[in-house]
Amino acid sequence: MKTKYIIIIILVSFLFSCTKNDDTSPSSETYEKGSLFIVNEGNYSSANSTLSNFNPSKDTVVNEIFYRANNAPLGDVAQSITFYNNMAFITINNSGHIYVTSCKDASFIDKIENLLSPRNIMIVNSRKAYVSDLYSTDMVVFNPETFEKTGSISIGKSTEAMVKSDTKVFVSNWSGYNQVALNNTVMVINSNTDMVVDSILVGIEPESMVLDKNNKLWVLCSGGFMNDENPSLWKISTESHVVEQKYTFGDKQSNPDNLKINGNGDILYFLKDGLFSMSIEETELPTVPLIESGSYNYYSIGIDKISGDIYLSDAGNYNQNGYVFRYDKNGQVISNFEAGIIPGTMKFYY
Amino acid sequence: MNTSWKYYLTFVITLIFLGDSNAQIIFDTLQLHEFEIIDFHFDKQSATNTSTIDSLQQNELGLVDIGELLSSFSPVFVKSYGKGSMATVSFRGTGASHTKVVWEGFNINSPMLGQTDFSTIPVSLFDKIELQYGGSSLTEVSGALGGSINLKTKSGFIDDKVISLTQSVGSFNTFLTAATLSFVNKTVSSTTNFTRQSSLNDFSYYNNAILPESEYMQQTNANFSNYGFTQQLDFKFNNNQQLTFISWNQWNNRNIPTIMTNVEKAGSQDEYQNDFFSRNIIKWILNTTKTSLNIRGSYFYENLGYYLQTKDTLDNMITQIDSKNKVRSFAASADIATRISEKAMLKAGSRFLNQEVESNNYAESKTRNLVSNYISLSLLIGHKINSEILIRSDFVDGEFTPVMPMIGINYQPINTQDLFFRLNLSRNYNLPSLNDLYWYPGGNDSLLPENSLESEIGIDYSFSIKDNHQITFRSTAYLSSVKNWIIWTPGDHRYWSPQNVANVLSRGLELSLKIIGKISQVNYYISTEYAYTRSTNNSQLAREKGTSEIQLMYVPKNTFNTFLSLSLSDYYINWGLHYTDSRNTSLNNSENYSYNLPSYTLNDISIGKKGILKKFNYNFKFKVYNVFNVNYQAVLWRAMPRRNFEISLNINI
Repeated sequence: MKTKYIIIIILVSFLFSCTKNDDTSPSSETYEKGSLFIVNEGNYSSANSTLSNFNPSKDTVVNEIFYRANNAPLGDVAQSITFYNNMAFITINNSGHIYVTSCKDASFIDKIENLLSPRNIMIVNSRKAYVSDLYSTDMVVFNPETFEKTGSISIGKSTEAMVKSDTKVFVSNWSGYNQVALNNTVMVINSNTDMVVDSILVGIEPESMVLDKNNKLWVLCSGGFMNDENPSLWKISTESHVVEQKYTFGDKQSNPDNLKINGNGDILYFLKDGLFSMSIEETELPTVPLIESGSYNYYSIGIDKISGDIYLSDAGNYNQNGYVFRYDKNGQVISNFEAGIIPGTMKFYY
Repeated sequence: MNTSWKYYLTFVITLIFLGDSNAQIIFDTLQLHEFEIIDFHFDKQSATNTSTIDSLQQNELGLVDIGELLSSFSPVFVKSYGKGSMATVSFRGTGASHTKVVWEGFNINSPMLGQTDFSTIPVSLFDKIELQYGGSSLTEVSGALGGSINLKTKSGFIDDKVISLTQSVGSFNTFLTAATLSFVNKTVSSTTNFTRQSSLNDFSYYNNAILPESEYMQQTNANFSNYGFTQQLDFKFNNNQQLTFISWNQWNNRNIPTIMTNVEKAGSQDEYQNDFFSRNIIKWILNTTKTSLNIRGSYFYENLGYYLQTKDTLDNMITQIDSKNKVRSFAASADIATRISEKAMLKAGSRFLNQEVESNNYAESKTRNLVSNYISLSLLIGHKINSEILIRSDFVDGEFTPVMPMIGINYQPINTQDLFFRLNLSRNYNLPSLNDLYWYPGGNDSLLPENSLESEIGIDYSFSIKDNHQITFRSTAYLSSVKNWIIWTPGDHRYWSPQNVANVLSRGLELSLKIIGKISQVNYYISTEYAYTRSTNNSQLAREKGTSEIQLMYVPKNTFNTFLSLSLSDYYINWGLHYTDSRNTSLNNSENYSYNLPSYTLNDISIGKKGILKKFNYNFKFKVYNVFNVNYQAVLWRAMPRRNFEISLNINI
């Protein structure tokens, strides 16, 4: 019996000597200009968002770069990334904050907290940035150099995509969730006074917007969560706020999203199962996709404004890492790589 | 002995590590949790794989919920969202809905979710807790692809106990009261159990999910209170006939705290769950010398309410979810067991079940009708082999599921030795839950049942040394495959929908060692459980996506429990250690904290004194949970308490 006690004592002492050490020292990888940052949203309420970086010249990807640099999670549903002055501003939607990180090594610099449901950031100038918000009817204004909140703009609606043209910031009112106000407008804000100066009527759920080379605003409306109306694409003058053209999608059940534009500002891209492209001069919507979705679950688009390469993310089954496919501008596949769970916003850091 | 051991080990190791060359069984960290309370014994001669948790000290049972008890005492994995929060149990790398909880012969899993919340089952209400592993569960219930947990109450005529009262006070304003009152005369007995538990649950925890610095924070919105009672009435007509009525009524109210990454969000969030259930059973038992007849009826009612409200900084409503769900179930069953010869026993039974769900998450109210029949034959072959053959078949909403056969064999090679070899083979079907079928939006009413093939072999050996030390060793190796495993996946639309997509292969090893004895004046008891579990999805799709080798989410490869109890005269000391290996929280191979929760080891220690003072039996105990102040998470970013204390006093009159 004595032997048994000895074994037990050995086993037990073994326990305490073998506990895992969870603290790993932060890595010191660096990320170059011209590389692609990928914001992987992760699962809602699981806080498994991650940040990836892809270097197109070396064709290499580094995943989980935020965790590697800071030994802490990015948070719950990272939504968007915005670059300014070699810093990346990342909105963490369900954690209610913005993390400011260094683009060079993804290290944490500061945070802007106590937000409701931050979505996108528009850097207006060195003293001012706007934050759109899914649930707040106000937009928070902060200083992108001191990271202090400096005020807010009353919109009266949920806000989503933002585009800046001269001293105007166009803000889309995408979500109609739990609000009485209709979600079929684009608001115009004077960025000098932070006042709403106009609103433009578009289709239901204006989800994404871009500015073309002629300074025209393009707005993609998905038609509503419950497929309330046919999705639509709008071309709007940034001077007069007049709608110059409306394109209507034939299929009410489809949900086009992710409007993007190339570096020259003359070719539009969007997702509708597959990837569609169209010239800004086109009078009709394209009917044949540039890239078929096949068995992939395409989730977002990234455009290299210099090379014209197109990056499409595949969210897969949403429970494992997604993939990113890199195509040239003609839709020919170049390569693919694994990113994080639900790869969302993809933006180049120039 | 030595030779058979070698063969056995070789077989086990081959079985387990086939196709898993990277796996190693390493006791690299052990751990223990709590259980003071209970002894765990095996029905060693049974043809099925069944083990029982008895109360070592009956009066201490009331101080934990069944989730805590199982995590300390058995190889099952308990996934707890925090004290007072939801806890689910899974056997052998299967899912929470593959664990069926059977109370007095009736399944109490939620018909909507298909699973059971173990935090709502107070241990104090039951006299016996039985675990049936894998296919052995078919003797009680179908669909328990992992196993079943059977809760039993003894007849009121067995005990002459009159009054028992337990009160405990713990850290974070935690209070628990349990009381039992029973009367008995020759023909009638009445037993009333009452339990009440409440906690502010505002413990401090280490938040490593925030920047710039991880810091200690206080948990908020995690308070809970549960109270309930059972009333049992037994009527004895004569020595062969008994009528029993049991009613179990309980109210569970809890707030749901936010996850650790979201503590800095603006606005306010109010999230809570309020449930009520009433479970009522009437049963009539007739025993003759050769035959036992058991006729039962039940009516279960559940009212489950979930509420979530978020407000912005100006107190305007942002989100509001007010989920209201009512479930009514009627069941009637008849079971007969008859001894057809000295060595053969025949059992048969039939059960009818009607379930109705009224939910604002369904397009309309839904019902399900199920008829479940079984027949089984237990045979003693010679003096060495005990066997059972069982066939079960379910008839659901007008359709038969394929038959579910089970065969169990127990072989005792040497008459003088308590050495047994076990073999169990079975096929089982688990029906989709009503949420899987009818949840709006996303429910898929064309789902097929999940279908499993299971096999296990085991060896049990008990012996004593110098009559002072009784040692029991038990080991089981299993291999099972579940086809048409249901997973919710993103569909073509914007909502998720369940599909029969996975094909899960699970294999593993369960080891258990109990030693009980006396050294000089000190009584000791040691109980150790180890489980190795390998559970992967081998579907074509998973192979294409490269995830077929990845352990399923929230299935630890290794778990280990040890419990040591020493007593001298009226004094005792108990020490529990519980180790849980790292768990995947996604289907990725990554060491990122968000993807792979680290392993943890918890220690609990209690000291106490029990004795008799005048006419009172008392038991006074002081207990320390998480002695070494371990910061850990059982579920990703759900805060768990650090070191905390509890004092309890039990009095029996």
